[in-house]
Amino acid sequence: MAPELSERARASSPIPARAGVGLKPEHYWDIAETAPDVGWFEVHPENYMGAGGYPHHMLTKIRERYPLSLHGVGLSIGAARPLDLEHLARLKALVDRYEPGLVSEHLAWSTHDTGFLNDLLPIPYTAETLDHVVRHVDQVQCALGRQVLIENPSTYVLFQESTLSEPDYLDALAQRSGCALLLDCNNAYVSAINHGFDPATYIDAFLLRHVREIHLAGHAEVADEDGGRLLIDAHDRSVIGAVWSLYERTLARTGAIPTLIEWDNDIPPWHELFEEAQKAERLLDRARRPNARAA
Amino acid sequence: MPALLETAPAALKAMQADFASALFDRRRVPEGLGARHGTPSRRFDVYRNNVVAGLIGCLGSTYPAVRRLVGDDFFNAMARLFIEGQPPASPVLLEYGAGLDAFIQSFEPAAGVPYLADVARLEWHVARACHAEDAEPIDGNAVADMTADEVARARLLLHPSLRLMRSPYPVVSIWRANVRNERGVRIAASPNGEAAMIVRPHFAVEVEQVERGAFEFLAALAAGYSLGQASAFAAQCSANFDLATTLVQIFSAGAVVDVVPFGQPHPLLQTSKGSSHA
Repeated sequence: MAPELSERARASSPIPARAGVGLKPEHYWDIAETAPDVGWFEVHPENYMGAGGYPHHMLTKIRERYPLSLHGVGLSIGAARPLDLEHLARLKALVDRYEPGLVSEHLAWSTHDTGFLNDLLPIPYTAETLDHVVRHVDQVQCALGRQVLIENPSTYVLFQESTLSEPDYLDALAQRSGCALLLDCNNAYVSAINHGFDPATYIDAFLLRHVREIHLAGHAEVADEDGGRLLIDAHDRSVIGAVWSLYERTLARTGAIPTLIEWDNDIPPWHELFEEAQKAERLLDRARRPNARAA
Repeated sequence: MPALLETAPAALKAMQADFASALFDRRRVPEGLGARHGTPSRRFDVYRNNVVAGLIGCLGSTYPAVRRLVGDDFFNAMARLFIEGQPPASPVLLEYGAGLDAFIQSFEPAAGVPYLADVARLEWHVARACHAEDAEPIDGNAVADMTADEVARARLLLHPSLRLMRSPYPVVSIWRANVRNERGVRIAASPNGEAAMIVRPHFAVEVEQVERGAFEFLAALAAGYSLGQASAFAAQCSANFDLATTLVQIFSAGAVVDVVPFGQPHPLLQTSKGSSHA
């Protein structure tokens, strides 16, 4: 049976404008034992959709102390096929159980008639697909009874039929569906290098009024067959300097805003991840000072 | 929700059908991709790799002993074929991997490892037990104060994570030697194979080898038979069955969550929740 959240946990629901960390099972004990000074944690809800067991036990423990955000990878709001209502109901049950401060998903698709494709696949940015994604986001928000955040994806290919830029597409999506946005600075950087545009221009074009959360992560780099730089959103190392710069550029316009460090592969010891979060926390501190915000 | 009224753009449908099929077909990339660079194939490969390598990794963590028994190269090649034939139906990957045992059973190249399918079956039970519903085990004191007659007529409610399996191979010993990295485990050639009780009393999954009669006893309890009935049945199946020893084993494994005295409705019959077994 799902235990009720305590009043103490309920009171700490909203996600503060601080640095948070993507919660990995490898760090459960470090966090439960040492209660580090981290603003909040985020998990993929799909990893907590079992009925019981150790993951729920530890997440409940951690939720008692920290605000929690649910960051989905499985709703597939960009898919042509209808949303998986069973999955949506399971997400709703998890939202009811853990009362997260934020719930987010990706501007991507991952389901097809053949099954779940286990990646965040790209969609063409057209007026037609926008209508469709707006309907899906609306359906999700109605089912969950709350606003969700939608994240800009890392992309490796573009579509010839795309007519809208990604920032414009996301802004229109937020405008029309009432959703908020999650700006992943690393994804912006990865996509920019992969498609040959300037990441700073992308950030500047991103209308930040809808952004409620920022993600930071590390990426891998290989070369494509023409020798071009090909960045892969691997979440397997620390955030690079150029992405920190993009983050500072963003903070200068938004002020302090909840910021997550994601590290999902080649997971480091807890202190290393904590140090990365401290780095974000220092930049947030700076953004909190009066007159920090650009005009 | 108005699923019937939903009209996805035809172009999006066509694109995704093409994209999805190209993910599993290395000979081509989808139509309509634009890229700064001439050929987008290595870029498209990133998606291919994320999909397949991600799922292979997922199967590898569910089936560590199978992977160790056949080696990474064999496992990866086999997993790829399994994934292509049976991709996940849901984004909840902790539930992905059912049916790998049956796949292995009919997978010709694995025929040289005849027990591999049963090791896979055991690992699938472990994975299910890991995420099964929570319940608090009780200890043997619950039956200590009952008369022999009361004990015989009572029913035991087993832990919702409990799974049972048996194999013509020493499957528990093979699994233990390959998953726990225990060295020097002697795998005896047991003519009757081995039976296993898989249960997660709290947070850790326990795999215990059980005697043939104890296996039948547990299977009968899981089906709702009384202790007396289950015990009689077990004794018929195995001359070695000993009720007292078996009760100690299953209570100390944390496999029992309640004792239902005779005359009280069995919770299984009310909620249809209970342990499943092979």
